[in-house]
Amino acid sequence: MTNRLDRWNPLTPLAAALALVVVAFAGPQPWSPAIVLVIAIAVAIASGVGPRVIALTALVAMPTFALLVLLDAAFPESTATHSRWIPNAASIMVALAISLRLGAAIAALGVVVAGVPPRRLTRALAARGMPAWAAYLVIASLEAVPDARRRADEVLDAQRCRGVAVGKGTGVRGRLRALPALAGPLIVSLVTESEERALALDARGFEPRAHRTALAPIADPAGERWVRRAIWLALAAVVAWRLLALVRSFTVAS
Amino acid sequence: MNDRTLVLSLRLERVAYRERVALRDIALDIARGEIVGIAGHVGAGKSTLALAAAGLLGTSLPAAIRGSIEHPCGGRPPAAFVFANPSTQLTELGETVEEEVAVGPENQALESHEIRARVDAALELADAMALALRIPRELSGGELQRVSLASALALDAPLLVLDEPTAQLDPEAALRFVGAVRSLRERGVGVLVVEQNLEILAALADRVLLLADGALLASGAPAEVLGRVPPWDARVGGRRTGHEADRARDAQRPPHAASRAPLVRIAGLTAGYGTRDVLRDLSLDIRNGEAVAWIGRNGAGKSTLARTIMGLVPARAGNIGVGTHDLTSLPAHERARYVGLVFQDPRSQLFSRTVIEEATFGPRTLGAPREAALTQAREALRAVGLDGREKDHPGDLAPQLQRRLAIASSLASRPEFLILDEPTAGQDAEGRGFIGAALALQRSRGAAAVITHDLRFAQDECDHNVTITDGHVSHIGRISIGDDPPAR
Repeated sequence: MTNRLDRWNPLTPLAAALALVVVAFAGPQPWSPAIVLVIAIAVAIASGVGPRVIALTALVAMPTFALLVLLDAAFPESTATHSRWIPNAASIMVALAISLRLGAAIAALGVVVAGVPPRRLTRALAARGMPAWAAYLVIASLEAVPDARRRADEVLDAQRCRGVAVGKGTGVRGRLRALPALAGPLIVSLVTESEERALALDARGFEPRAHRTALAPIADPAGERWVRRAIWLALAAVVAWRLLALVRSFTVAS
Repeated sequence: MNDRTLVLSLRLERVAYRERVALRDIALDIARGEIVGIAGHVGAGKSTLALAAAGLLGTSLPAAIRGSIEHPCGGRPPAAFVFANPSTQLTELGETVEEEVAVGPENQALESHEIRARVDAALELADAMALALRIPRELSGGELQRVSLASALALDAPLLVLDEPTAQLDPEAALRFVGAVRSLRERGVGVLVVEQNLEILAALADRVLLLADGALLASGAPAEVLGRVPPWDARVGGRRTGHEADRARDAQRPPHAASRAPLVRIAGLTAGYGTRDVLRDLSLDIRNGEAVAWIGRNGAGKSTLARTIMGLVPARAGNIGVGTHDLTSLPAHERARYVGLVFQDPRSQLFSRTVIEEATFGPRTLGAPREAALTQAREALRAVGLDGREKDHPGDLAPQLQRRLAIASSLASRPEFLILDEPTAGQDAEGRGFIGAALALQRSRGAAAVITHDLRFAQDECDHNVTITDGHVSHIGRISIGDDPPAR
């Protein structure tokens, strides 16, 4: 499946995402992360990966917010100023600011994770000198969850054929009874599969430190290279500005 | 082309996995353009020899090797390898088939136009060009096997090692495969092929090595070597032969199956994945006491039919009945009372600590009392030749025996209708005999279907063949094939 990000060299959205993460954390609060979040969600929707990115962001940001509020309510700095178990406005604002920053970072990186196929990304990184082992590590990490899910489906199907009931209507006892039949083959097959993968790579002349080429090298037009340079420049400016502000605040304090 | 320039010079005194000796005293030279076949029973050491010849033993696979393995023509890697299980071939570095095939040339750091030329030539030779843009994980077993061959060919190595390369190919594809491998001879590629199908081996190889229990039993021209043992019953040494299993099977085979009422009734079945219909208005009856072979090209819909009957793929239209039960709306685990399905890969199923526990799991899950489950399990294990192995750990069994254990554990549940998906892949003659015996046991109390490309097994063990083409039944009848191997 193609999306709008496929038009770009994967390094360009990656650079943009990293820049947005830095802006979300280093820029003025709370407007910087809020703006980054809006931009990232807008790009995700325009790229056709909106639902996945929104779900991923919510999955991280909302529990973080709830947890921080709960922690502050359970262990307030001082029970003299406000009572236990009742969150105050200040703690809610702090939790909101942290969750917003985290959410903005997840959304920005989520656009790359959901919108750029891992193999395309690693091919682009390999063209910039990334060693073969690192490229493989990136792919294996990104594919680990879908791989495990695929194997789990196969195991589930095989055991359902033997009468193992799982899913709706299965009680806790039934689920516990089914656990060894599902977990055993899954663990064994995942281990076996990783061994087989190593064998397959070996059989195809894969050498971890060697340079690899590509069947279809990813285009990196001059225009995009300039865009990335501009992004890195802007990023450097933001970091320098923040460092300067930090130094100035120390000077004033002393 | 056979210029006696060696591509492999192998001298092995001993190869062992931990304490178990897998090979001893083997010497093998392969010249450019020469095709050497390896035959032998399950556990004879064929795959170990193939892996050693490809230089994969001792690196990716831990083994203690005493001896030397030389590849005088060099290469990166010096040998290309096609694995018995085609999914083992996948590196996952490629998203599409052509990207997967390109992994080897990419590792060789070729220019992109050279990689493209290699990939196209390999896909063409392996008859897999039509699959170029498909996703490897979505292919059928046979399609994946063609992709495996293409992936190996793309390496352009001086030596090609093939481990059971036709196990999942339909007969037409197997013939094209034989042609493709023969054409490598002209290019000066040396080939080492492990094959249980002795007809293919006889048609393909210049000479054959016959292994038994890790040692070389005979070596020479195919007709000479394969003639030293009963031609299609090549278990060399062993405690029980396929012939004994044959006799047990014949005693159990019920007469006049054709006159009985249909046990399995499939009417107007349509099913598929995503927006694609794989089965289209398929109707089929199977009578009580019958064993039928479902045959057809790779990707024709045979496995999807099995999965739909079992309830793993939802039916979009049509009805499925077994005995007096309408299965159409039942979930898979409830259908397991009436239908059993054994997949190609037994690893998705085996989890118990002993063979007997594994075989009793199905009947116990379906509510059988412990004693009854044990009786049923022992009967099923005896049928597949695993009696005496009850206390073994399933993980310690050879893959072919694991497959037979998976069949036994389904058989032990006593379903009315049992479906086996490619049960004979990788099995030697003895194993095929035991699977035939398991089929006979099933026929004595219901019906069975076998998804297979093994037409000889279909002819010997099944009442008739159902040919499935593009998701519907295109022909029902018997296939008769000759007793002699095809002429070379």
